[in-house]
Amino acid sequence: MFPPGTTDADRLSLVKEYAGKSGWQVRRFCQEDWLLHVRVCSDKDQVRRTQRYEVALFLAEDHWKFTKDSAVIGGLILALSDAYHQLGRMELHFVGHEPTIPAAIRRVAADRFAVTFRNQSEISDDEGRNLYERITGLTDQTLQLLDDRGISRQRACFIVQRGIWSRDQVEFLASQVRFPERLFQGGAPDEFRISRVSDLVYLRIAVMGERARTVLELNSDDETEILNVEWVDGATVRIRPTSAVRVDALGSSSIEATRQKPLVALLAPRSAADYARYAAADMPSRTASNGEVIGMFVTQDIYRMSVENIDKLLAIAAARNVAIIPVVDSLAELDAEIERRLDRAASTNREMPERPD
Amino acid sequence: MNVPIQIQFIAVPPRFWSAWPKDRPLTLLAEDARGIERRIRKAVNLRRERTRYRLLCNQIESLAQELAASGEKILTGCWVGRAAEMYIDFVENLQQTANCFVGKSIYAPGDEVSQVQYLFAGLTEAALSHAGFNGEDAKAFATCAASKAGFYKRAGDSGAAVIEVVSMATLLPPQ
Repeated sequence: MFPPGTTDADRLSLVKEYAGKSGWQVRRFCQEDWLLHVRVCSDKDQVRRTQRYEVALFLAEDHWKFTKDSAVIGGLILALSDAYHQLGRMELHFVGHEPTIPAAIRRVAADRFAVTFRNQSEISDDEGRNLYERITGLTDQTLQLLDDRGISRQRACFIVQRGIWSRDQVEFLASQVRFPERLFQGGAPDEFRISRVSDLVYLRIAVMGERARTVLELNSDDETEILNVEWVDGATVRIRPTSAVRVDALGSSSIEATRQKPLVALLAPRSAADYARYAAADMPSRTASNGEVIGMFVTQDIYRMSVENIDKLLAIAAARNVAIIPVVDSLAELDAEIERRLDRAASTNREMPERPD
Repeated sequence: MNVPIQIQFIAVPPRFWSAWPKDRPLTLLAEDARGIERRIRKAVNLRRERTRYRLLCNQIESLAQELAASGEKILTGCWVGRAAEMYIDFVENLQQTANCFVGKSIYAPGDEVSQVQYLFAGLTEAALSHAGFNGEDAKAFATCAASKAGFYKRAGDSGAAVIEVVSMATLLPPQ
């Protein structure tokens, strides 16, 4: 028994009791070499046998490098995802060294996400789902969109938490693609070529938006730069950095985006042949309003165009005040990344045949 | 505004189909693709076959686009924006309701092109209504089907193959 005031770090030794013990597994959540959370929970066999996901120890300790309660939130996300993955329900039963729901979880759930629990020792499925949605942080508008289009909220949140697509990408895909739920389950099979490629058009833009953000992050002097990314319409995002970021563009020019002068990024993931055909037409014919700067993000395939074509394109870009900014990937690399993500979305689906939704 | 999508129909004349590119003509590539489709239907090595199919389709579609842009006299058609979206919706619907490969992008000359022509020519408003499409959809899809059947007839009459290529249209409408 530990005296009052004991921290979770002090209780870490309890984990040893479960080492090698049948029916239990120890899970850790680390960030940058720091151990933020340790959890002892039922292993796969026990979950299958008992149809219960039990948590016998839930330790979380904050670190000054990360925002307050990151450890508890990280641990909750992992526990709820794991329960959903194995059981199809976001239901946690606290047992053993955690006879009741830990106070840290109760506090974080109530104060930060306005979720309270009915039971002393159990987070029920509906409470777990509600908490999971709120932690994921999809906007009310997106949640409404998911409901309207018949997409499972938990599936979308799970995709975000698994790191397959980010929040803004889920929002973009849910609003733009004709069958978004299909993308969250691995996409159309390749033999349905027309459907597959039409989905790919949107997915390339979603990944390209991410790459555009990376370009700005790489060019920022501030390591902790926070970029506000907002999808403006179809293939355009507005990126607003907290401090000034200068980005090198094609043809030895550069542009500077600031908080007051955000970067409007036109996303043009195309092949070399398509750049020759469409790049000039992709560029807007006048400068953006409200002091914005315009950048057209292109793939590495732009370098496969002939020198004459590149020069022509640069002349048009200069006349229209648009910077052409290459991302690090070629179109084939973007496609490979998309395939990898679709595959991950499909594999999570295949491993959960018992899920009710 | 949504992401602008376009679909190009490219009728590849027999002289190109059987002899271009020189190292491995389109006809042989398309045969490989048909072989893969057959293996996929039999669920043989699904994962690997799907990857091969994807790469092969990419290659054939790029070659067809290259041909269409080469200045040769090639029969082409292009639907942009709403028309392209409607066509893709139509194909999705057909895939769900009919057990056939209507969502393919490569159709060899002869039987394959004429089968598509007959299939789409038969998709009249009445037939679609009978198949469960609601009034407005049936009308719009019937127009779409008639247009596609017309293109395939012209391609079929000249003994051409047809390649369908979906891609992103220009980001901005023409100024």
